[in-house]
Amino acid sequence: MPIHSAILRVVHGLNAIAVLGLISSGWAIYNAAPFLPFTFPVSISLGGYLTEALRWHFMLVWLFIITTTLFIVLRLSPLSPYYGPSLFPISYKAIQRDLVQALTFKLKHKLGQYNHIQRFLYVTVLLSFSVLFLSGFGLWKPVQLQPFNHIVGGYESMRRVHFGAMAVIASFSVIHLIMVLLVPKTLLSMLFGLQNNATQVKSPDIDSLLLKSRENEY
Amino acid sequence: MNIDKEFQLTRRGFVGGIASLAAIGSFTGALALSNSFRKDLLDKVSKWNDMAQGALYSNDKLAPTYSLDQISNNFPYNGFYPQAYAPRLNPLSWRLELGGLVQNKTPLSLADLRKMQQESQITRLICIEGWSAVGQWSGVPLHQLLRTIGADLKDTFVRIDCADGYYTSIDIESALHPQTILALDFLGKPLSRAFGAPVRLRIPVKLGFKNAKFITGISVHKQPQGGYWEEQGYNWFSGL
Repeated sequence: MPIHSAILRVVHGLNAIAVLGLISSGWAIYNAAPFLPFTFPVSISLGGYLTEALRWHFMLVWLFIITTTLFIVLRLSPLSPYYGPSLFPISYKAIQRDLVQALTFKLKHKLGQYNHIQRFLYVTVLLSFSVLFLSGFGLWKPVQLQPFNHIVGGYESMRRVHFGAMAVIASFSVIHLIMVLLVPKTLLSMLFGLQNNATQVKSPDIDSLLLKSRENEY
Repeated sequence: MNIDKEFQLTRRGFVGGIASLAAIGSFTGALALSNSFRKDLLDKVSKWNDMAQGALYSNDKLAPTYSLDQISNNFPYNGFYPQAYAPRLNPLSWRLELGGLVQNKTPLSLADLRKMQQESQITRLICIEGWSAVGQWSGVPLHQLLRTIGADLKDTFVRIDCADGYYTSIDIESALHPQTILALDFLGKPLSRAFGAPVRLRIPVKLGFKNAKFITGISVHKQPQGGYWEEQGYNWFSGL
């Protein structure tokens, strides 16, 4: 069975589009009333100016909600046939080790298994997504959903929380792409769904069942 | 094609991958290249967002209120023209025109409004640009005015027209929110010229641009009414 099933690849692709679009339209929204001593270049912001950027932002958020929910249900729930490699445990030592290996191009990357850098990054992403999602709702509905903003001390603080979580995701996207370039077969797998012919599988029962069900297909 | 010993690129996977890329690519391309396709799609989603917000909206939720010492210094001016061009209205000859689905269309003077029951609030105005500021406004609750003039309150829209050509509109439910007022005073004094003298809308359950200044007319309609910024793409409901 492919490392990345078709549905996961499509969901990942659409989610990536949503996230990149939300980040770059968010930059244009931030530019309308910046709270840090800089603004983002119009050329790299989706929509360019406030009106159009807001329309993009509030369209792509639907794509983000749908694809993120699908991804979590498909990939992270143990009952799903697409249940992925474990994100835990994560150890600081192992992250250091993997980081040194990655930087010296020695990181052994096994498809179908997450190294500790990946685990740390993916957990960080999921946490940041949750923060972005909740803070976004808080900013969108500061009256109807007041408790969201109260948690961080009000509307103005929430703007900064939303911005901070964006910065985490933007940094992740850069690191994620560098990691992919370091291990190009992951890109092929994400685009074309490489077949796993390995004999070492975690749960032989499920895999043999899946193999049987797929014998007719190939 | 072998990637390594354990993993293979299959023809099925390759075709599927190319097809997905092509589908996503052409959709993105259409969005980037066709202005009308993009505008249509964004308009439709904005209307859908109006609906979602209407469903989420409840008049039971009051906007947070603040204490006197939390009021912002130097409340920002904002408008579609510089402050110096703000209209200068004579408070004595000023009248509030009433129109549409209301029983009593007799224009109201500033003195008429002052005679009505007044409400005061310290709330946060949140601009669509992202900034926010806390101010103190007092004036006539809009629900009280609408009931006094016998407005049709069932599934209607309230339109606000202004001396500078600006206009906006809101759903009747938000218009009836207890904190929605026709503000006459800011920080305990009559509104200054730049901030909407003699009367502005103060509606803490909507974004700043719905808080129309220099009001000259209020009318009630069965049909949605749009607005100055709304026509340029700001989301119509824009509830908070």
